[in-house]
Amino acid sequence: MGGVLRFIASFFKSSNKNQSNVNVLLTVLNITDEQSLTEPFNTDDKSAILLNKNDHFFFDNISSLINESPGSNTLTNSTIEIIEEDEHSAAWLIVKNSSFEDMVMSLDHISEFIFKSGLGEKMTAAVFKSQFRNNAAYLICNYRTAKFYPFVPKENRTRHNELEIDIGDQLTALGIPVEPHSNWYALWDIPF
Amino acid sequence: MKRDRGLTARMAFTILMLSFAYVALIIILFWAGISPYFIFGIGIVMVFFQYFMSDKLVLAATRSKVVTEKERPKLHSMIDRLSKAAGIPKPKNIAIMESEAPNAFATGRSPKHATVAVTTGLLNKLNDDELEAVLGHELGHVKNKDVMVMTWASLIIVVAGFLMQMLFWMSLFGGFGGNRRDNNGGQLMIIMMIVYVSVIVIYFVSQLLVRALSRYRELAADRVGAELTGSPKHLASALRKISGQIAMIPEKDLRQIEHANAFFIIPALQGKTMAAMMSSHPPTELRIERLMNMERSMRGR
Repeated sequence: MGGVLRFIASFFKSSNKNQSNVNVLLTVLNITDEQSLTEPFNTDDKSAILLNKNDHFFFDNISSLINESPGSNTLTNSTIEIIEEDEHSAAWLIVKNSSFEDMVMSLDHISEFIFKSGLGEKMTAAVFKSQFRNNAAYLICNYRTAKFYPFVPKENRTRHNELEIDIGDQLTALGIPVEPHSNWYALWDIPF
Repeated sequence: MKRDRGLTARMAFTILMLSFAYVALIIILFWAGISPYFIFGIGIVMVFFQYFMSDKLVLAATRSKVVTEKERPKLHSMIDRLSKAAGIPKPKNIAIMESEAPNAFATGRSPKHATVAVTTGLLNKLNDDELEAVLGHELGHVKNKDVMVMTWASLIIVVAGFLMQMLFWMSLFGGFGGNRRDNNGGQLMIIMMIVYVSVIVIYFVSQLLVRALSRYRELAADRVGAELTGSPKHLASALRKISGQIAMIPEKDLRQIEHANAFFIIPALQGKTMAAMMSSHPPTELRIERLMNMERSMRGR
């Protein structure tokens, strides 16, 4: 069944141009390289893919499709949860794993699976949570540009811009591709 | 601090390419039977005027006011200290320009005749560490004799620009020989058309090369400035404030942008690439990245 759906989805795919952007996700593993860091990131056990799925039938059964996908053994110990439709009609595919490395590998596998199914355009961003200087800091990878940027929300929908700039510097130093500041769009109410 | 060999090599390559452009222009002029002495003579006079008068011209154009040590003791003492560290004489003039836009510049044909100016916006916006870092950058230009280098590098643009205009007006008034009905007239027209097109190409290539050289000189001045203060991060922080990078962080939510299908990244980048090539300054983000790398290597990380 999954194979048929994938075939149909790939038949109707409109663009696959973002496929090369997937492996950029793995560069986020560099934040665990303590020797290169001036200040540590404390990684979280959750990350997510922000989906702009527009009721596409492929996503109705996404969890089982992912579990049946080739190479799904990389998902060991990862749990997948989908939060449907936030206020922007976007959905969140949340991956949980106590090992940051395994979680990133799982997220990369899922992203690649969605891309290969011809639905890369439905993915907006991958979001990783961490703690930086005692603040919840999200590292967002924009699939369109294959670049990361930090997002540190404060109360009343304000942002800790100076801390974000410092995190941006750290990411650059770690060899992680970073978006220009003008593309550091907010992501309010991240559900994890 | 180690020399940045990559930057030095890029500068040397750009200067070599500019030399080729000079040679190409001279060969074309000789080939067309146009004396290059007259054209280059005019260019050299113009450039000499600019070179010797640059400080006065810029001060007048920006309406900057030269300030004494009594009027601005902190500014003077910072520049005094940094000049000593750089091993150059203290600039002849220290000036302030009334402008809310945070900016600074250095001009003058030699360290002895240099002028360093800052805007009131810069003084208001930066803390002392950041101000010192910006002054260090400006003194980096003075130490590297950038006014001299850039003035002479620009000579080819002045000469090619002058030739372009001259040939344009000649073509309008039949100076290319198009009105003559004999064979020589046609031949002359072809030669002049070749010269005209070649000069246009040399003009645009030289513009790109001179601007590339200018960007490299900016990076070199950043390096000198960072070395003088011993703290590249303060220059990085000043650049962020000056360029308004924090203000550039958008307030919109990524999902709103996604729904508007407004991800224009590729065309935007293409536009930026051309703009970057024509810019006299390197992108602020590149400068900050290099400064932060310097900071890490200074701190041994």
